[in-house]
Amino acid sequence: MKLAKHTGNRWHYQLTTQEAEHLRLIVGCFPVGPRHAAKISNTDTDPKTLEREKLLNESLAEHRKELQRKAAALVAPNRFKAQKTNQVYQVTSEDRETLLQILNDIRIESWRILGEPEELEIDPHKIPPDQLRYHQLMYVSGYFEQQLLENAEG
Amino acid sequence: MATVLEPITVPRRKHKGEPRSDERREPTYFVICWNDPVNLMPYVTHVFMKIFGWDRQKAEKHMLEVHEKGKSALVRESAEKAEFYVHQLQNYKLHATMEPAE
Repeated sequence: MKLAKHTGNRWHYQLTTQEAEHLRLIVGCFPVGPRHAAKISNTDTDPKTLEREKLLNESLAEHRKELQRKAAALVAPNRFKAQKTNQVYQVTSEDRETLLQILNDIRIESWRILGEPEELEIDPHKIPPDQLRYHQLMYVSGYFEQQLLENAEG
Repeated sequence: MATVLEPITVPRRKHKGEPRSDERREPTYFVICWNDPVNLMPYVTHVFMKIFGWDRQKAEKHMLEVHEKGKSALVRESAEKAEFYVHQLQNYKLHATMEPAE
């Protein structure tokens, strides 16, 4: 996957057929696992902080639902155009931002399911078979995030 | 006939470091971003640029501070604004909190 063209609000990425298939599959996996409760402060014990934390978690849950509503449309067949042996994937700046958030959510939640390891270079043979899928999701989502951000200002 | 002088009011001098009245009223918070091993460095830079409108150089400076020192104080704001930024950063799945500045 590489950035082929960026004009104004439009981004065009060139993907191999296999990459396009992987992107569709991975976005189709969203959301991975339940969302973890977020903390708003590590030190503040003010009662208002607890109220803020509750609001934060409600807002994050709503945001995730919104991403879920948008996910399928981001990898709909009309986004991809065959070009010789490759596929051209087109998104607006807003879509690209949403896609980045979805991919990063998949990456983070997969990492959590794997037990939040400090070292990410894990030998796949040491991963329990039921968790192998999350190891792959973490890597592949990271790969697409990097490609989306490469050679792009903003 | 003696002249009666009006009392003169001398303005009280402010001491160095004395907080302004508005600072006394409203507590401020640091928005802190904490390190984790999973968020990608270019992604963190991108998020800082997006949320705070920073140029790449400033965003990378804070990203590297998070990476090397374990955390970075991104901005100091009122409770309301700090809360807003924490929401934004956490929407992007960055580990961010607001901590009292005083």
